[in-house]
Amino acid sequence: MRGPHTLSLHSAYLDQDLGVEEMRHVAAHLEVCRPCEADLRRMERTRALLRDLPPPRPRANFWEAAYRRLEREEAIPLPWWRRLSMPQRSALVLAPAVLAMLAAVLLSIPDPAPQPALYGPDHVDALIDAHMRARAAQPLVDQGPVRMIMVDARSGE
Amino acid sequence: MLSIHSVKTLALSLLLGAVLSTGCGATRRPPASPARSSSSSSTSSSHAPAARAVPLRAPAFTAKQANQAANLLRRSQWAQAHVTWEGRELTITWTDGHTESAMANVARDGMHERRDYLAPKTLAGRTWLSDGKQVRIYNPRTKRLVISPQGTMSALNLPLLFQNYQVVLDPKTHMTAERSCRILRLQPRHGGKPHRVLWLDAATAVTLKHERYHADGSPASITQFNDIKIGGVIPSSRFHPRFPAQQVRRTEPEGDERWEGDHNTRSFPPSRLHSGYRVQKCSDAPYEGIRCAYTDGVDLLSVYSLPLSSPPPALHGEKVNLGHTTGTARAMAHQWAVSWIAERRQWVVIVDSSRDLALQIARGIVTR
Repeated sequence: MRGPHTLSLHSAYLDQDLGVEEMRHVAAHLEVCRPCEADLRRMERTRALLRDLPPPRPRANFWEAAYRRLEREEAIPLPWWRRLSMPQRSALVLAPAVLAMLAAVLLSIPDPAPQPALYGPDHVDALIDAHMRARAAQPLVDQGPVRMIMVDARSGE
Repeated sequence: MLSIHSVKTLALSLLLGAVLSTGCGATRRPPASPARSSSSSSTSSSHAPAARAVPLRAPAFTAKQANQAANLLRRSQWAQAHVTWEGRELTITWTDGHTESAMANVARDGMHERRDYLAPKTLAGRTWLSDGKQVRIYNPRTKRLVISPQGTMSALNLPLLFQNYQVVLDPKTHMTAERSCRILRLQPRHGGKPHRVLWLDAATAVTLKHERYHADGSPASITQFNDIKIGGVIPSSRFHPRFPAQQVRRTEPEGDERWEGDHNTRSFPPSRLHSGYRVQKCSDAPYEGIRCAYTDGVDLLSVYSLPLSSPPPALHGEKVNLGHTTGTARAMAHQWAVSWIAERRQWVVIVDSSRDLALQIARGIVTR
């Protein structure tokens, strides 16, 4: 049985990554199909060639250059928010919220009542006025000064 | 440098001095004080208003003289309500070295009285009107009319007067305001009280001049007529003028009179005070208080007892010791007021004479 070509399965066949049935199918096909067999041989030779190549080696100053580049990158300061620790970042986020809540609480508290005056008036002026009125009705009292004071005080404003 | 007010005062003093010198020159008068001798006449028997009065000694004061004095005082009070007169009145007061003076045209007919002030400039133009029940004071400058109740004239208490004063009637007649007059001197029997000299018209007993002196002899006030016309008819319209008032203010009437029996309570002032003062009447006072008027027959003082306000009052003035407590004393215009707080009340004593008398009265109430 020749069937269709199995070119797409050759790489997996070499790596033995196919299932049992697929491995049998590819093996049976390779026995009867020359092009596919030739393709598999080319692939085996290429792999063998790559395996025989020496491992790649870095340039002489590769590691020194790499370290210098890392040092330069470390010298660049990080943004301030990236330098904060996690608790600090949490506090940074929570502080405005706490302040806003505090302001709301303070605003919701009613203003304290105005402080009452420590002392009241002694009313002596008004009492003297009443005294003068009584004096104006007293016999033998010199009425001139009484009238003068009352006229001055009452109609003066 | 002399102010205008000082010049006016000096001029009025000179005027009064001239009147005194031409009036009752034969009257016994105290010597002029050095401070004011320049304003008095050179005549030894005449004096400026500021002259210090020497307490008068009356060695011979007979029952006949007492009767004469009592009759003259009774006639004087009767004349106040029944005799018609009009004239020009001069008033001078002295308070703590400060002199005030005023001149007014005054007319009186029964219980009606009208005063038109001519001087000083601050009072000139103002009118005082009384019908015996209420007082109307009009200021043409502000077109403001103030209406106040007038207290009922108290009866003359002659027994109390003679108990507290030595009344001396000068046997001679004298002249003032071109009228013959009798002179009565009221000498207090208690220290610290003012004494008075009354010049009463010999014919009608109208008071032509009233001098009041402090206990130390310094003058307190003088009221006198420069010219006066007694009798005659004064048109009724003079006592009922119409004022073009733009603003009328009425002051509260005095409260109900209370009986003397209420004095049993501690919150009420006592019925008798130091220096011979006895309660004349007690009535409701402003601020839900009680006011008791006291008289010694002539002088008048007031004692107020107010419930303590909230907050308690701040008592202004000089701190004074009143025995069991401390208070304050201060001079207000022509009065002395002593205030203190006791028995959860504010007490105020107001007198017209001296600080010492106010303190004596206050101490007497505190330590009763």
